[in-house]
Amino acid sequence: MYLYDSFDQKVVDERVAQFREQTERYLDGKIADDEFLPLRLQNGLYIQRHAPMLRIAIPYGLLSSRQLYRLADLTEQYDKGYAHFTTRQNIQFNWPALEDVPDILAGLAEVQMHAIQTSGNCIRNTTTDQFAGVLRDEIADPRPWCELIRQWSTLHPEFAFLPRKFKIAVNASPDSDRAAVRFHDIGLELVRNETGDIGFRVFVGGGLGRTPLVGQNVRDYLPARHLLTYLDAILRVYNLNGRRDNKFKARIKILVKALGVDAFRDRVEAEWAHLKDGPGTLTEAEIERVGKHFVDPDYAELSDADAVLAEQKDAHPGFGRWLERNVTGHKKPGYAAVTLSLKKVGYAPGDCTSGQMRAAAQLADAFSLGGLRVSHEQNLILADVRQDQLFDLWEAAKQHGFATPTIGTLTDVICCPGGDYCALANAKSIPIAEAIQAQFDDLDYLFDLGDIDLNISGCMNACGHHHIGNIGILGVDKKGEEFYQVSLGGDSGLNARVGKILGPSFKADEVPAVVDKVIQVYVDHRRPDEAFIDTVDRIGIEPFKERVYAKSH
Amino acid sequence: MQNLIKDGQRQDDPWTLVEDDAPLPAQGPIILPLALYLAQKAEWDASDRDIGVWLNDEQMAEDVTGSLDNLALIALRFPKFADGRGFSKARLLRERYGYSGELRAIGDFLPDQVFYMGRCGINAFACRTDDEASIALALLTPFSVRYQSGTDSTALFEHR
Repeated sequence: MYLYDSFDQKVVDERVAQFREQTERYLDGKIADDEFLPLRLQNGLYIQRHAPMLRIAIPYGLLSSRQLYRLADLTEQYDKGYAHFTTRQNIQFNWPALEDVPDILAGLAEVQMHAIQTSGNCIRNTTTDQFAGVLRDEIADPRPWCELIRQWSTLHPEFAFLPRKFKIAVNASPDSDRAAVRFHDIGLELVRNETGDIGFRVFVGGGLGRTPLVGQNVRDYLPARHLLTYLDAILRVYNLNGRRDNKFKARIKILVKALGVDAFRDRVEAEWAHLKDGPGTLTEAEIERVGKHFVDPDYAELSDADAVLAEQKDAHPGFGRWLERNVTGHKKPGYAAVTLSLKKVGYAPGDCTSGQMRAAAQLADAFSLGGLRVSHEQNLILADVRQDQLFDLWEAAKQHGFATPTIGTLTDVICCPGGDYCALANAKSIPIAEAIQAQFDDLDYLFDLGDIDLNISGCMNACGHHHIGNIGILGVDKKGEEFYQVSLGGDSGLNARVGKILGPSFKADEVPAVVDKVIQVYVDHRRPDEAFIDTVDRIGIEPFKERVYAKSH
Repeated sequence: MQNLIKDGQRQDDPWTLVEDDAPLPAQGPIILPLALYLAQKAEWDASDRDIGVWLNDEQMAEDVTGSLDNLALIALRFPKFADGRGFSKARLLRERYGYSGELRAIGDFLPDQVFYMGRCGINAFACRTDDEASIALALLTPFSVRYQSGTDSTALFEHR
């Protein structure tokens, strides 16, 4: 992973000093609440329902064991001994005291971490595929480009006070899109041109929230060295022309929609004509310098351990299930990527105790070269595990509650903190996730159902990405009561689309039964090996509607 | 008032800011509303007074590019500190249109924003209060590293 040099270290150290001074001034009453707001938000600090919430960046989801140990220590020293992995590869502390935040940031800076621009109307953490760098089908490793974007966006002087927040995601896999790039303000897809040179396909104006929209293609091929100047051009067009009169219409997606993608593209290209080949143009030396941090580790020369794994599977059916759901292929023979589930029934999705953090860090050291990733599905990944050690890892993961073999199934619920924590939420989301997980506790049934993304958001802000869940659940407020709207058919991947709303919303205690009925319709209609999303696509939502809203007799 | 920082120092302000529809002072350097200046541009350009203009939030760098040689000062009014359009306008004036006179931030901005403003080419800050000018002076360069290019430096990667 990327290691800071003295320049990078200075940036985070100076950021801590800056925020310490700002916090002191605020506590002295010298900064008004509304003026402290952007300053604290740009350091990840929200004032929440019960206490402040601090969102810490995990740049494009990469974490070392050393960093995770430090996070564990910090949650104990300054919080309640647990934290929450988010849907954008960040981690949140839910109970820090405002006056402690500069010390927390200092503790993070010591392990090359920060909370810079994890909130506020600025460029946020760049995200990518959790399996970046170990996938077989990757065009090229997206992580160096994510790091280049991280540095470019960090303390960008021109774009710290945008009309609204701004999120960038990068995908490098032609066959899948685990980064949901078409639902970002800017989505970048690594591509090669006909001469084999690396570049980007650029999508702009995707997003969820109140107005879910799929990003539009503004450029089929952008040569890689022009990445940053092109981003500058898009951001400048947005900064000058995005709406500032209504926060619900301020995202770039609204500007793209209002102008039309062709007119928007013309403006970007006109702006870029001035910036192209200018001072922001990446140099070969810089691309190489950053790339060096992401060269392959010293993998052992192995062959795939099919025979051993088959034996172990036969002897331990539980291991077989786990292999099927929680283990992903790796570009190197004899290796695999393992997802440690943070979706144990009875625990909030994405929550992780300090004990679990240390355990995960230990597993990373023992089994995966000391590295971890965070996925937008709110799980942890060990990306470089030897196949002949998978069984030992499974045994160890079980001890710590990480081996729930449900990755990608209905109960691998993606869920925001919801009304239990978040001041914006209309409704709770965690209890809904738990009720669904409790309802579908038969593993054989879950496996038979196969891949189903279920996403829950506690409000229109859509932190649980409910629009792009195959099944999406949205908390709504009806005259002070919590209700839940269900949508079907959302897809975050290459076939990016927003789900369709089923009909009138439900009370919390009705939701598990509604999901059950939806699943029954799928089971009744599916063709052999047809995934849930494909059945929904084929038969439409009417049959689901009929069953769910049928009068009971 | 000692609320002005220019070129890194507290300074007395010789300029008078003329609000929309306000009476003009009889003498001394004046910062005119852009529309007022443009309406009588030839006369203002011929006058031996020092003339500057201020741009409101809706007025863009392109609205003033025909007059850059005649203007000793251009002020960018921040209607609200959260409105970041002025950052882009400043860069355009400096980097694209080559404006070399005084570029001044006025209106509702925070002392905590002067570093970014400076990196975008703003070299004078009419702070909201004298106290804030003292704070802003101390906050001119909280960072010694600059990842991106700006009007003050090239990108870090150029000399890393």
